[in-house]
Amino acid sequence: MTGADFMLASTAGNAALISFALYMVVVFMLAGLANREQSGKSFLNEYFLGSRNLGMWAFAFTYAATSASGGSFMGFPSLIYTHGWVMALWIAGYIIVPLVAIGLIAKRLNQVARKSGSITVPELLRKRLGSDTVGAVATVLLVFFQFFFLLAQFKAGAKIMTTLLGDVEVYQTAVAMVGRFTAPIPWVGAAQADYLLCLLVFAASVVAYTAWGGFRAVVWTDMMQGVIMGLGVVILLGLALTQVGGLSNATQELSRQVPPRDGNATLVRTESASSLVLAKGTWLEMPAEEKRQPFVRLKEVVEFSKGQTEFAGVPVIEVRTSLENATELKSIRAQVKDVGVSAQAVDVEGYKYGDDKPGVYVSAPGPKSSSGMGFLPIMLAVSFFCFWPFAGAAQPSYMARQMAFKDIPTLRHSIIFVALYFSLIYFPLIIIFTCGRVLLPGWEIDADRVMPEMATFLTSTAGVPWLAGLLVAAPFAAVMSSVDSFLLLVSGSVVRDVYQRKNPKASEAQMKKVTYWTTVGVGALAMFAMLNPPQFLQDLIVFGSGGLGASFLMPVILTLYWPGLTPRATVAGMLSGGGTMAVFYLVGYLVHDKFSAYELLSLHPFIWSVLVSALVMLAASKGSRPTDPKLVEKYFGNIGNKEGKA
Amino acid sequence: MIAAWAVTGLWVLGYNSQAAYAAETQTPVRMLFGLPRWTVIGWLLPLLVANAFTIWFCLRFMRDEPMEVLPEDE
Repeated sequence: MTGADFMLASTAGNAALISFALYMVVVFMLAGLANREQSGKSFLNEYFLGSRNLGMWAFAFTYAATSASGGSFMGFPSLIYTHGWVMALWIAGYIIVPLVAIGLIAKRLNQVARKSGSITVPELLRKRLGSDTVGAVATVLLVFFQFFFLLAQFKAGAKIMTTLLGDVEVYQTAVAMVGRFTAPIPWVGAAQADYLLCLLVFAASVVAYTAWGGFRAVVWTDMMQGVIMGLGVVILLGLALTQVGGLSNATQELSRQVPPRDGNATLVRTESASSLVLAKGTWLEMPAEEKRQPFVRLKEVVEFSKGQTEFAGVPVIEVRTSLENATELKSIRAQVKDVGVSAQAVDVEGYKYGDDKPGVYVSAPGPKSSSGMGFLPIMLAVSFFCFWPFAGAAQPSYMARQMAFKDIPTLRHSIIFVALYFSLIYFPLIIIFTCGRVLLPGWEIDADRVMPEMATFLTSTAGVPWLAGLLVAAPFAAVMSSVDSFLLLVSGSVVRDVYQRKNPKASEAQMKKVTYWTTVGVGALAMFAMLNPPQFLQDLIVFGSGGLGASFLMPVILTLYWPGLTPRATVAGMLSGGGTMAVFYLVGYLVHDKFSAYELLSLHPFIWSVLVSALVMLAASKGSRPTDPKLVEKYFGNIGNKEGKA
Repeated sequence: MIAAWAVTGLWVLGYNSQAAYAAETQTPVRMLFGLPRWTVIGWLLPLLVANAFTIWFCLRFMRDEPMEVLPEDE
């Protein structure tokens, strides 16, 4: 690193630290204000639902921000970068998500929740159907699947912080101290020190402000985080389009790209008088071909010792750039340094779908390294078109928000706002990260990092490194806004549906204590589980949300709209939906030897799970004990009374 | 709502089952407004229409209903 590079990195790092510190100060101020709002109000109703008084901006922003999680700002960009424009088809269900996911159940859900005085989804199901078993099963499934979602967010939050603070001197000193302190501790010591420190800070801060401020703090911070996310995307889009030379140039260069090849190489150096360290991500230029210029990029750090001239079996990717791709070539050549090392005996393997196939990044099904059918066969595209709106409708964290809006005008304006907000977020994200393939090639070596890397690259190139802090705060805000909601949801279910059921006469002071400690306990458990995280962030997210959708979609819709639904059918529907999802992932694990879904007939397991859930509910409702007619009368009036008795 | 979802699905998946999956063989890439042509007709356009429908649905179709006043915490 030259002196100028170091200055630039330090400036960017310090700016990022200042931005981050300011951001956290505001978050805690909002939590403090929310805590003051709790005085004089019913604790549980205020803490978990903000007294059901959310106005348009609060409801819309908290819904949108909770929805746009670490998946949207870390996993999704990584997938766009890896698979190209086909991701527009993958996410296409979002075109109609606000109307379906909110419009389908929000009004009725809010009315039933008010009528029953419920503040959690399991409580609503229990009271509507008059069955403790329904409530208990719903609580168990909610906590189980939501916890997977929470785990993924903790990992994403820590990873973003690692990138955000990477160059800050104070941070590096703290990392070294943590490393020394934790190294002898089993399990904890196995985690990388920088990740561990960031995970600890992330978990402590998000748990603290959530426990302190409750639902209202979560909603207020969601509003701020929603604004930061929107601003971040707009600024990134402008910078990316300017630097790539316009949208047409980006699309044309992308259409000439072919997927990288993966494998090993032997590195040889001409001079060996001293030791040499090659960083992860180092580029080496290879001899040119007729139409393409190959480069090799290191996937790991390589350390030549003094006197060593050869290093075999180095993991690399081979990027073969079209000679017509001027922007891409310029970007790579700017990073190639003459270190006196060449790559020889390069043994690489191409993608099973898309190898040496120009056009694969601007078409469907998109490139895929592990399957000859490509990333998104048409039946899988159909699955995801169903998945996003309907799994979205059945997420308990969204349902909690739908219980909290104050009136119908709030609902209708919020649906419009969320629709426009999602359009503003998801469409630009695809453009930004397809541009990213041209501006920052070779990040297949660690695609989950492409979002913060793009933010740092674009702002540094534009001469505004201080802006990186704000841009990287956008995905961080997305993760935080989801984690706080999920923490609250899980602790709400535990406190309301377990503790209060067992201790109906618990005082408000006792409830407060249990609520705070449950929030802290859930956060600590998630942090401990994520000390050595699994590799596949997006798979955890899809499993968690798919499991919740499969467990709750049919049971909740029928609970709200079908007077003849019985408690036994509801329990059977939840268990069969969630269970089918888990079985498909178990089969996927056995078949693929990694945590991924088994896609029977190329359909996502969510589709099969919902079908199974619906059929099982219909079958189980025949002949089972009907719901208490008084409850049917309460929630459905005369119409329900007739059908309920039928 | 379900009808709107179905119509959007037919448009996006129906059109793209031909256009997007055939785009790989088209050289040079067919573009519209600097984007791959199928993304504009099969994704951006339905997005704009869906947003217009959502606005109409919410402002003109969705009925106002008084919300029940919640009894204090049980």
